[in-house]
Amino acid sequence: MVVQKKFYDPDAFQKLANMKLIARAIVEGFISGLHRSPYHGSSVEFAEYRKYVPGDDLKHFDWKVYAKSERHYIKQYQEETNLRAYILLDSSKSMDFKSDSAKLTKFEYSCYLASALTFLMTRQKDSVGLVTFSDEVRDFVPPKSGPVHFQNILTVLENTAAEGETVIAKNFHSLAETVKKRGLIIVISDLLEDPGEILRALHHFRHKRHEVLIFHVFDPAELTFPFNQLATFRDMETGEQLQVFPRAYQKEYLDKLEEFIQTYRRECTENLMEYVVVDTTAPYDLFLAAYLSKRALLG
Amino acid sequence: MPCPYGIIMFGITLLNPVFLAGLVTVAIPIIVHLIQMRRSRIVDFPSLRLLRLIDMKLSRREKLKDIILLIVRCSILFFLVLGLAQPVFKAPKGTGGRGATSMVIIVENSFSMDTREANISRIDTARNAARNAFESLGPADSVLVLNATEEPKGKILRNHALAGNTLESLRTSPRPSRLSGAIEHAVKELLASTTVNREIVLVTDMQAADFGGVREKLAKVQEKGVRVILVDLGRQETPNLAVTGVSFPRGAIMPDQETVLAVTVRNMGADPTGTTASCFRGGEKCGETAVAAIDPGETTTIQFPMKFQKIGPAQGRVVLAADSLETDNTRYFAVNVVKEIPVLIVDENPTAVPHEAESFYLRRALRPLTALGEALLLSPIKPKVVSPDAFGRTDVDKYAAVIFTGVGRINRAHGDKLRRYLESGGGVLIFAGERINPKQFNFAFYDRASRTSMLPAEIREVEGDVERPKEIWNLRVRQPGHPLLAPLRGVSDSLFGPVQVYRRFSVDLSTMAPGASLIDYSDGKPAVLEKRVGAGRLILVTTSAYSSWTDFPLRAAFIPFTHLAIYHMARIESGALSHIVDSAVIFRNIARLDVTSPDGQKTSVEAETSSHGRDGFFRSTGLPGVYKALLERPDGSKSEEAFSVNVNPDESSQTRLPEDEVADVFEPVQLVRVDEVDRVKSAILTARRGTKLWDLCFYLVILLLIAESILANRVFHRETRTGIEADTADVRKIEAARQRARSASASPQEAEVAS
Repeated sequence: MVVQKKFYDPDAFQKLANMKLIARAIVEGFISGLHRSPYHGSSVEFAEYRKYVPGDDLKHFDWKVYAKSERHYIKQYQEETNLRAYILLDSSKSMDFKSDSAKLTKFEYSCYLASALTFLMTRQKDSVGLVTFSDEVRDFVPPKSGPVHFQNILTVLENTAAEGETVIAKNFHSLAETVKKRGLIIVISDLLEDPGEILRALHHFRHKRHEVLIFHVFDPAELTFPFNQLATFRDMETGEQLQVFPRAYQKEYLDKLEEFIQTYRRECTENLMEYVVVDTTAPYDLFLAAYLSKRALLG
Repeated sequence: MPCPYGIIMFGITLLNPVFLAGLVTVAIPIIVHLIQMRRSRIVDFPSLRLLRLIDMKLSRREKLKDIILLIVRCSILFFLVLGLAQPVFKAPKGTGGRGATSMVIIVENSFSMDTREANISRIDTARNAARNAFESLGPADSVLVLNATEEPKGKILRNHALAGNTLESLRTSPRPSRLSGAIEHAVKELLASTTVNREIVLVTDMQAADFGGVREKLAKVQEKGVRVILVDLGRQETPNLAVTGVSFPRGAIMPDQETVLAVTVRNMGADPTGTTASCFRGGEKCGETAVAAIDPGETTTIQFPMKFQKIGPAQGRVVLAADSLETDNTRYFAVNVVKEIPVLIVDENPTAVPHEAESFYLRRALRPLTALGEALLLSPIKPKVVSPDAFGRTDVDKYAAVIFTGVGRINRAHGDKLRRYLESGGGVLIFAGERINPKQFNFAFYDRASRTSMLPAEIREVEGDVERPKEIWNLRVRQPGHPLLAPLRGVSDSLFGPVQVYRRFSVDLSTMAPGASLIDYSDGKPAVLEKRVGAGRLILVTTSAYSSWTDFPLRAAFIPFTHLAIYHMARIESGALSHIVDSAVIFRNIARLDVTSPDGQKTSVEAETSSHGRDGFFRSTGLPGVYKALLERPDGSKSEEAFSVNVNPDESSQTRLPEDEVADVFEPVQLVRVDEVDRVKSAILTARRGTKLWDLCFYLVILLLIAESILANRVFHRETRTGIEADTADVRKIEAARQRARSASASPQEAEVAS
């Protein structure tokens, strides 16, 4: 496969070649894959015994148990299926921010992250969909698998620019209603909206039994607030301005930010959602590899 | 007057105004601040919603801090520049400190400056103060030293040696202070000078009595920029008792007759004080007595009984025990002991039956057989009774007084004789009587030359009926303070009130001078009138000296009245022999006068022609003590008299000029007050140059620098915290370690191991 796309980084993807993204929750799919399916059928992984009832396929009758105990048991197997994942990528204007210490804007970083995840999942035959949104859903790529689909997603990422205001909660609610089958929802955003609203929307996904994975993307300047001289801060989405002495604000700002992050972290933990704070200066391939390793270890 | 040495504004003078150009540097922090404000770069920031959650008061507080910091920095530069410009504070009228100065130093040297405080007299302190003022002068400055007691003279000169000699030879003087005269001369000299600084240094003990007329003299320099440096040496009140008066009882002092010297002692200090008084007659101590404690401001009188043996002038002194001011502890007295006072009584019919003569009661009164008080124990008066004809032939100048009692036969010749007698200082007492013809009487006393009457008022008709009196008048003293009546003050009403008068002459009130009536009748008409004629006095009694018209001769009032009238007319007053230093002593009707001063200096005085004859004026009474005078009369006869000269007791008073009056007296000038002698020079220089403010400016700069560093530290170094670690922090650390390893080691394996 020869791909020439902006967010296709073969070196980085190579590092992820041996990694697997396995859904922790039970997901629904069409073909056999790495992930556990709620549909028990012919599969290689034994699940449990149950008493035979007339009509059962004798193919699953356990003759060994019958020979030993003269009891009639049917073997049941956990069906392994492919993952249906949705990458919800925030493409609002606020994602277009890059400080001097960062190499990529938050949006570019998120795109790389999305492409890497897509690569990873398409490699393991999972279906990956992509939703880009700002004030509305801008692109909706239904989950599919295969190299062509991967290329399609890369094309969408390449053609998407960070613009428009962030309207997360409304879009998430809408998507939660749209996505019928249980799957993995991967949110890549700076979540700069009312945390309460966003968390309610994420709960909506959880209510639909999706596994939710959130990558909260921050530029290092947002995490350290390194400004010193008098500055007029302009909101990247609304254009609103605020002139302040940053040196007076650093501590208060970081306190607020910490409270902001802790709100998400606490709520996500309580609702079995994964929440990861991502710094755009961290190499996404390494980060992703480390994250997947840790995820695999934690099961 | 524009100041050539600096800019004056709000009372502050800048000695180096060129440095004011440096004030432009004050703009530097402002410009930097404005540039920073303009440079407020716009930062696109995604997390503005978090910033908005922060209290905006923080920003406002920061802006305020920034502005305060800006003000502090501007102030540092401002005060630095101001300090370099050498600001001085001074009154608007004050002028440049570096210009030439004309100074008049006036030292109060009245005897009150002899007061000793802490073993040093005020005059020495004043001299030190003046020397201190002297040191403020430069070679180009001019000076004049004056004292307050002598006639001010001299010019303001650059001859500092002359002024220094004047200052060093300065001594106290018994003469009274003439501060206003010295001020007047100083003002005149200063107004004539063209120097930038014009100053009067007045060194004084602030006695209230010295400042009369000073304000009027200073008013001439209002708005002229003359500065007065008032060196106040009288802050500390010291105990001081002073002999303020010595007097003998009224009347003549006769040989071997015991008399009493009354000594008045006054406490001039602030605390009750007692002392010891000694009396000396001639050079011999004749008595000593303790004086009980006297309250401040109060007076007490002590007495020394004494006798004089010899006829003629006698002298003595009363001395108090030493205190802080010696000069007023001694008071001199002089008396002229006389054998008798000849009085001529003119009676119309002196040869009649004695008790029917008009002069009967008068003669008895002047030679009383009984005493009425100590003063009249023995009368020195020797009356001689003559008829009007004999009066024409008598040399009246030999008599101390002439009394006319009911004389009708008086003519112009008599009148002319009496006028000459009066003008040369004689005294005439006239009692009215039945024989007097008003028209003839008025005519006799009318002076054609001056077209005035010698009488206090022309007499008119007789009033009252002796046989069937319809109306009886009593006497009322109209002027109890008159020298004739003053010795009877307090008893005059009881003496004169019972007197009954049945018959009298009325007077023409239109011809009566104001204040001529000494005693009135009960209906308000004048009973006893006085008029000064030349050097003499004429007293007219409008009723008789005989008992037919009135019971006055029979009343107790008659004897003291007649005696006092003679003493009054003959000017026999013990107090008259005592004079105040520098006052003129007048000798009437003399041709020549030789006076010997207490220091032995002899002075001859030729008589001057005055309106009433030839009088001798002796003015060299600058030294306290007893003076002896040899008088030569126009007829060639000679007599010796003595008189005492004493210091003015007012000078002993330590009553200070009240503070509100100080402000009033010196209102026309710029006043600089100094209480400490050592500070005179610095006070003058400060007044001249103003109060240095640049030290203060530099101190302020230092303080502001400290404040700036503290403030800046607080503004710029706020509490900070480290950033928030993302979940990718480990990855970042690994990557950073890898990069460090890559740069430090060539081997990637090592780098991997390091990571």
